[in-house]
Amino acid sequence: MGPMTLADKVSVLAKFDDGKLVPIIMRWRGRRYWVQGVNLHHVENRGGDKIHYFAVSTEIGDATLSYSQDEMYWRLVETNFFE
Amino acid sequence: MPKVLHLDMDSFFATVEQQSRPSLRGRSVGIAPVDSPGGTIVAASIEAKKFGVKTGTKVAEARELIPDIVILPPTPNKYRVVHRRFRSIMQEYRGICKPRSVDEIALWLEPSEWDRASEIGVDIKQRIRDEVGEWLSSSVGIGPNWLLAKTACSIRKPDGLLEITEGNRRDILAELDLTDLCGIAGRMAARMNLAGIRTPLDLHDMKPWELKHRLGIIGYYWHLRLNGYAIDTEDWATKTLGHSSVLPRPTASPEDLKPLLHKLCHRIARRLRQDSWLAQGLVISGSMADWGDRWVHSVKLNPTQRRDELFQTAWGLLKSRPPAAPLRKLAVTTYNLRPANPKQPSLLETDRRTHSALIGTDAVNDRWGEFTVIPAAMMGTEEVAGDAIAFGQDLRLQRETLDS
Ligand SMILES: [Mg+2]
Repeated sequence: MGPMTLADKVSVLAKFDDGKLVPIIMRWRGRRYWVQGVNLHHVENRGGDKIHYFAVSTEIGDATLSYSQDEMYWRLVETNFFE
Repeated sequence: MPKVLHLDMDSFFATVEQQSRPSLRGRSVGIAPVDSPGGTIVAASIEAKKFGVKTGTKVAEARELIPDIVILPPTPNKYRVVHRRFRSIMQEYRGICKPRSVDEIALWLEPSEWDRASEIGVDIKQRIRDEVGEWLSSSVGIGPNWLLAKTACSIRKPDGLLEITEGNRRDILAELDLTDLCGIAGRMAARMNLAGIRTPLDLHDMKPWELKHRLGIIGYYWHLRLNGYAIDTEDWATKTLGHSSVLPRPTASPEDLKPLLHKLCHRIARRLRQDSWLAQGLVISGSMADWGDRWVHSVKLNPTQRRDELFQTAWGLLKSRPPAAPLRKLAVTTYNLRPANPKQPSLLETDRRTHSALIGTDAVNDRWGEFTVIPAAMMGTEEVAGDAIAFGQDLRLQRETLDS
């Protein structure tokens, strides 16, 4: 099975590290996931907004988080660990 | 020999998707804009290629070949980001860097780097893994011109590194089909076959006049390319024109080397004007008296063919980076040549006047022999460069071989 796309709002604990935004923990559907590493970070412009995409590894699989600079919302936009 | 380095990311789109999703690494992945049976795969991962899935395969066909293949839509922004990152790594090396496509970049190395071209290739491949993403594998080809670099690159994919040298060139070309060469498609190959040319080795080995007779000027150009000449505009970056001279007494002192430096710059400037080239880079180099390491420094130039500008640059380099040991030979080489357009005189009147004065000097020297008219600063150097020899790629060779 390939990755599943979604657009769930999630709570994320992140740090600003040397000019870089780095997600550390994500809470999704009542569970906490540790971000073990960022595999790729890229930015897309949407209107005036900048959306940051973080392709991450967690302890149970890959996921992609997005962060909207304007709205200041984090979303989980893709996982490979749907139940 | 000039060195061009061509880098091609392996299965780029698919590899980037695997980079961002470790769960897909080692699995067959196909990138298709539309995930329907009639959709077309625009990029296949290295794993999928082993089962025969490639660019152009229909999604339905790919699923038949590999039932558990993962089909993903392309994400161009991601590819552009990765492209920018590996490009900025390549731009840190000395040379001229030009993207050929989203996943291919060519680097025309400066002469000071020619000896370590394959080292640089290894370095770039590793840095892409370390600094952009550990799954990003790439292939590097090295050759004396872009065509041979690109050809070398395509032979050892994925994760390859191959240099085409004078030593292995014929062996490598013997293994290839005409259509393996970038720029020869089916129709041209058919035309070549009709003319009795079956392999790249035929193009390489056949006499230039014979090729010209059978295929016209195009055949001759292919012959030059495969023999390592820089005939395509993009390869001018590696065109060089230089002079060197053995020193009567080995020395490391810039002041002692100064008169010879003058003389070498004078000769180069003269050749540049004769052949109508502007130099955009300069290298000074030398062999140490103890036969040890070579001493090499290079710098970019504003396009010029003027002796005083070449000398000022060379002298600045020599003073700031003097050789650590006495030199027995000193060389000045200009590179990254581009044609001077005499129909477009400089906007600055003074520049134009200096230029005509220099052309006048050349005319006298042509008639009366080298150094009849020499700049005052070169007085007393006649014996010093007596055994100077021209070296580098002879720009006139192409014209001569064609005419003969
Ligand atoms: Mg590629």
